[in-house]
Amino acid sequence: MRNMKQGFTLIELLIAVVLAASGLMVLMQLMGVAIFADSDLEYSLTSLNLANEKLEELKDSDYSSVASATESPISGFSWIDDRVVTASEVGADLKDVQVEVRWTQKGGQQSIKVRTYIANY
Amino acid sequence: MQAWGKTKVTNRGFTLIETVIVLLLMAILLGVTGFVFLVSLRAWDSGCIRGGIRADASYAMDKTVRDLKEMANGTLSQYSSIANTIKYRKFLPNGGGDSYVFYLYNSTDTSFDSSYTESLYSLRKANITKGDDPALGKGVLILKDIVSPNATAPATALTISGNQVTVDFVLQRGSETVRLKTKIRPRNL
Repeated sequence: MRNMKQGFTLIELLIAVVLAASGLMVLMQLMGVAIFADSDLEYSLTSLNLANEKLEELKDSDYSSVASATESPISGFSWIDDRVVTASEVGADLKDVQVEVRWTQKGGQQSIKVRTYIANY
Repeated sequence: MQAWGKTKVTNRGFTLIETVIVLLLMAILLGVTGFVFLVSLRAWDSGCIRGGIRADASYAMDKTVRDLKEMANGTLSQYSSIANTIKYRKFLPNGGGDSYVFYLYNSTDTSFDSSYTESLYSLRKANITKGDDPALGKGVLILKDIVSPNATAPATALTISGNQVTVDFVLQRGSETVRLKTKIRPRNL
């Protein structure tokens, strides 16, 4: 009878409030994850297009001028660390060309790489 | 019947101090969570808009790149010497593919030339052979909300340099800007 007539104690209320708050925090963290995943995609998409840009440039240039090189910074895309071309002759009149675009995000370096063969025809 | 003294103790509610403390703590907690919530809502909003722009830009980029890669030899040029237009003929093995023009259009900007006086344009693709008139905004809509080529950098640009086409899309919706840039070297040149 004595317990039934008692209301909440301060401690009980505090616990309830803390529980509710931690629940809310979890929800917000989920939101943050979703937002970051979204911006990841944007960086990859832009980088992929820039990597392809370099490949097309190389395909349009003389075979002899297709060579390893590093470009940094990329004008207009200040968040990109560099764009690295790795070219090696793998046969007679055939070069293996790789273009890697690198950027730093969330404390680590991310990169995207495209690769093709360019022939001297 | 309970004794007077005992009832007084067991029915005790909150004291004023206790209630005030709880209210204060709740207010602080709600304030903090509310603030974080507002900030993340804003970020969420901008993420939604950027996601939409990005999807549109990605589609337009794919389409433009594919179309331009397969143009016929020696058919790349501007349309009537207007900057930021790309005219080409589609490659067909037996010849005679249709001629197309990628161009920027805004119905308010009636002078179809290099001036680009409006702030936003749309990218369209007109089939010249079938009689689509770019000056009237005919053809297929490919991308909306493109920043004018005359805007302060970064600005949209469709440029031809030798055999290379540079496609630089700058899209703007609300306060969000997304930029996608690449180059294309047509395969049949």
